[in-house]
Amino acid sequence: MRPAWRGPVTFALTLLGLGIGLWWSAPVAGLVAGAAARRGGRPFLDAALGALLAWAALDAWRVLFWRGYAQAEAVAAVAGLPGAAGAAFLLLPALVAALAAGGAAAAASAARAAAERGARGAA
Amino acid sequence: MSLEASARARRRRGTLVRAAAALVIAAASTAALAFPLGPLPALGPTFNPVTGLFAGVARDVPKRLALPGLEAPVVVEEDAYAVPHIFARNDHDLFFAQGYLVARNRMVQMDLMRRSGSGRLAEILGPKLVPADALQRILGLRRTAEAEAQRLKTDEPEIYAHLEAYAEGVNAWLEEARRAHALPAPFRLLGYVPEPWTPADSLVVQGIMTEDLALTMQPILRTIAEAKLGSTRAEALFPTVAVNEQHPYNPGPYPPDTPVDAAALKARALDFGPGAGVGGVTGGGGPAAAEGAAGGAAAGVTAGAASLGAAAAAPARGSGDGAVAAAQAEALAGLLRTLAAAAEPLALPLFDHPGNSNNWVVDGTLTDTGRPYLAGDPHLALTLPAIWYEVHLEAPDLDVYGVSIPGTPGVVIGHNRDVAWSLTNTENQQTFFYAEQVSPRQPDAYFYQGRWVKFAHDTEEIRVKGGATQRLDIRWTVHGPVLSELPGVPPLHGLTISMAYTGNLDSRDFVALDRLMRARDASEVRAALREWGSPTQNFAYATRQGDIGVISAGYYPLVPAGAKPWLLLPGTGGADWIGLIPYDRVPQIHNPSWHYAFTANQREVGPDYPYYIGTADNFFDAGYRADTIDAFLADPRNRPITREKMAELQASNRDALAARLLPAVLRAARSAPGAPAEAKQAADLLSGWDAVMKKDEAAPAVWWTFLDHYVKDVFGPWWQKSGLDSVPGLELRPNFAPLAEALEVLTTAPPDSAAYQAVDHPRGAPESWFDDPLRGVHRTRDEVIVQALAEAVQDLQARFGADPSKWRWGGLHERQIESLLQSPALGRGPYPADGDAFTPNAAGGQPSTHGPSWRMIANLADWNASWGVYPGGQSGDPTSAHYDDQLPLWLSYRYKALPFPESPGGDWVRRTFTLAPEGGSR
Repeated sequence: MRPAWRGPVTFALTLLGLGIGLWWSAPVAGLVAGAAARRGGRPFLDAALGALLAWAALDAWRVLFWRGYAQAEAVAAVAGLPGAAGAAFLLLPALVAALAAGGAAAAASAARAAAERGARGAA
Repeated sequence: MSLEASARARRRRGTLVRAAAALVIAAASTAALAFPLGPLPALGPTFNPVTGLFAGVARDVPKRLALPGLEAPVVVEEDAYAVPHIFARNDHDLFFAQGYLVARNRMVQMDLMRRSGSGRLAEILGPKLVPADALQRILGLRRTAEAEAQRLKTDEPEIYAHLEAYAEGVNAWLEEARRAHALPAPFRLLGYVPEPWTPADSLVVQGIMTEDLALTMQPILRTIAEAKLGSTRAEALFPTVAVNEQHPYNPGPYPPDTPVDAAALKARALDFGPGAGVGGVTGGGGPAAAEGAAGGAAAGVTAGAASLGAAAAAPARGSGDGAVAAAQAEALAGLLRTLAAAAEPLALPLFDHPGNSNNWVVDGTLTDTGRPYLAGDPHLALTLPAIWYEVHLEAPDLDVYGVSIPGTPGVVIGHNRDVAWSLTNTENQQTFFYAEQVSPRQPDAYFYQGRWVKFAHDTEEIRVKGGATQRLDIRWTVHGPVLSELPGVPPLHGLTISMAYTGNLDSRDFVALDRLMRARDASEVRAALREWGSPTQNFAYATRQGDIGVISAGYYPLVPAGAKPWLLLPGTGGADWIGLIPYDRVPQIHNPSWHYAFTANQREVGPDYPYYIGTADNFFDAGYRADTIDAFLADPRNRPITREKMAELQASNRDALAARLLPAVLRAARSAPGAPAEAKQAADLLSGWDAVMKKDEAAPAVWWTFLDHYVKDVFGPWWQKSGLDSVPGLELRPNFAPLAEALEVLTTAPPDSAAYQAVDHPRGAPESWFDDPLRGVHRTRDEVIVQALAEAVQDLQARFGADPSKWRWGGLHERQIESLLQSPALGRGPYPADGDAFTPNAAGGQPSTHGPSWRMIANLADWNASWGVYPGGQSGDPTSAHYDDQLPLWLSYRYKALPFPESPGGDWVRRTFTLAPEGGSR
């Protein structure tokens, strides 16, 4: 797979996973995309951005069509925080998931590179 | 190794290190999503935008929804306020649909109530809730509910089937929500899934209302007051019947004899606890049998001989019964402090009932329609979501509109096609305390009817989130649970106190409500309410045939003549409950010749009523709301009475205490020589005031601040001298009902009148309440009034500045609608507010957190012209438009129409959907 596909693949897999309730789809998507793509590009950033966009897109869908921001504000209120802190409940999980996806992609990509080097060395 | 190979190896190592670092980042981030972070739940599953808590947002029911368990399609129509009108083909489906819809809107509230009543809050909220849970386990609410459910199943299978159908509906929603990840956010945040609903859970919720309205520590307070103030002075302030002007709804005459219904008590007693001693202690069948229980009759009295006549009910002078030593009084105060701390998270009012209520009925001779009107506004804690869920229920045998309590089937207040009804709290004494006689030589027994009887033991386990499970050994006597088992209760200097409480009797309230919802005339109303138990309630009713009335239905426990139930009672058997007031002798009135009837938690009957039902020490309301209601309904200028007039009275902010005291206060201020300028200023502001507590005026602010000072200036020195000022529940405050009544007499009655003497110089006591016993100073009434007026002005100047045009009652007094989740942002207010504790538009407290939780005016000439409103909305979801959409109406004393169609359809319908049996429709 070309490196340019790393981000879109992470985005798609994350979106798909979240849609069926698999919150851990972001790191798995990063792992898959990182392992599948050839060397090149920026594995961490590509995958992190892909996962972040997927999570954010679904957050946006909630906010726009399902009173998601009001829900987040209510959650903040229950936690005794100001309403604006509700945004953190939308953003924080997305950012952490992006880190997880980026890290997984970078790890997989590096491992693939190491393996390729090892193979070349052996040859 | 070549240089190139070495470099490759280095690069490879570097790559592996980078891979490892990235892996660590990925693993740490994944772990951060997977596991709870401190108080935060796991971020990943909780905030997954698709299946996390955002999916728990309240949503509309689809046009057609298949539900397993329904027998036939149910049509539901919602009006503009999302009030469901449920049209079902049978009772099962009707209550199923009600349970489903209520759960869909209020599951968090229902589960919190169920947990609160069952003593299971610590399971989800952690160790700080253990004392509250322990208190609730001791009070025995859940145990009673389970026993009631068993009895109901056997004795009233049809009613039990309704509870089951309701539970099935709730569980249908729970299952749907679980599958669709649609449980409300609080469940996701707290990390649990609610357990299936059961009929016993509905009885627990009903039991919470009993606790709220019937449980009180008043006799312990009174025992402390007697010990610290002396019995003479305590009796003067807290007499059986207050000596100021009262407004009983049934002024008599009453049948003079006093039969006792021992059979009813025996039938309602559970196998342990209060009433279990009637006809002999059985002790068996409880959590652990009371081994060695005494046999034979516990009370052994005949009807009449055991009842308390009015004279017998009056506190006996100087008797030793119920008296405790000073050290014990201190210890009792400590007990109350521990109880109050434990009860605080439960919002359980132990000392008085801030939630009071009004209802009244007017027959057709006084109205514009020629048919009756009924008005009702139960005053309870104002919360979001509200205590009420409004609903119209229609099936072939049932057609009723009103408000229900989330978690219970049917409606509590409302009307059917023939009858309307509303409730207020009767406030009679339903909690009694016994000092059990124990001995170190009999460590697990109490002395009862001449022998040692083993305590029944109930071992409870309280599971704790983030902590170890706690075990609690609760001892029960034949009277009830031993209160001193609550962890943290200080040593009581030899006192072992048990509590006999009507909430621990079997109460057939669901039977009564079911029959009431189906009643077609006054006789069926009366027959239905025969089944009502606790909390004792004043049911005002009106019928399409034109009948009106009030029945104060429920339990009125009786103790033998000579016993003093307003104090600690001896637990040795001589002061046990011996029966109940028979149903046909409880306070009631039917078609009074003056064409209206009203209750406002005032003492329902006059001083000649031959039974003891409670004293003036905070059992009954002071009666100032009753005064205003009575005056309004009796006033010929208000005829004919219209729906608008009824609304005007519900919104009345006239303070009858102010109206009664004002002339004397103004006289004192103007006649006192050398009165300070502030006192004169206060008098100027109060002169011409109409005693209406309007938020935008200065005079009400002056009045209430004056009253606060007046109460404290008069009684404060006595409280300080005796140490009562540190007793929880006896804090001096302007709305302390018995003190307000006493002050009224002290301020307005001629000093040589019997009423004045009874309060100020009981049994010839030379000192006056106006004297200052701390400083040994004699004061006159007028001196204290002038002092309080001056202090009021000084207070207001300090708060609002010197310019009285800037003083506003609403600046001092606000309404606060609190969130059940204790989150300020999810509550509403504070709003500057009219009214006070003595106005029909009840608004006691600063801020006022209780008040008219539902205002209804039933128009018996045209049901569709009835009105209603409550300070909240149908949805428990803060993001829903129906979370608080009735609140603006309520705040401005407006109502909404209550459409009551006979069949689906109408221009009021906003949404229609069908709940259908799963697998096709029939």
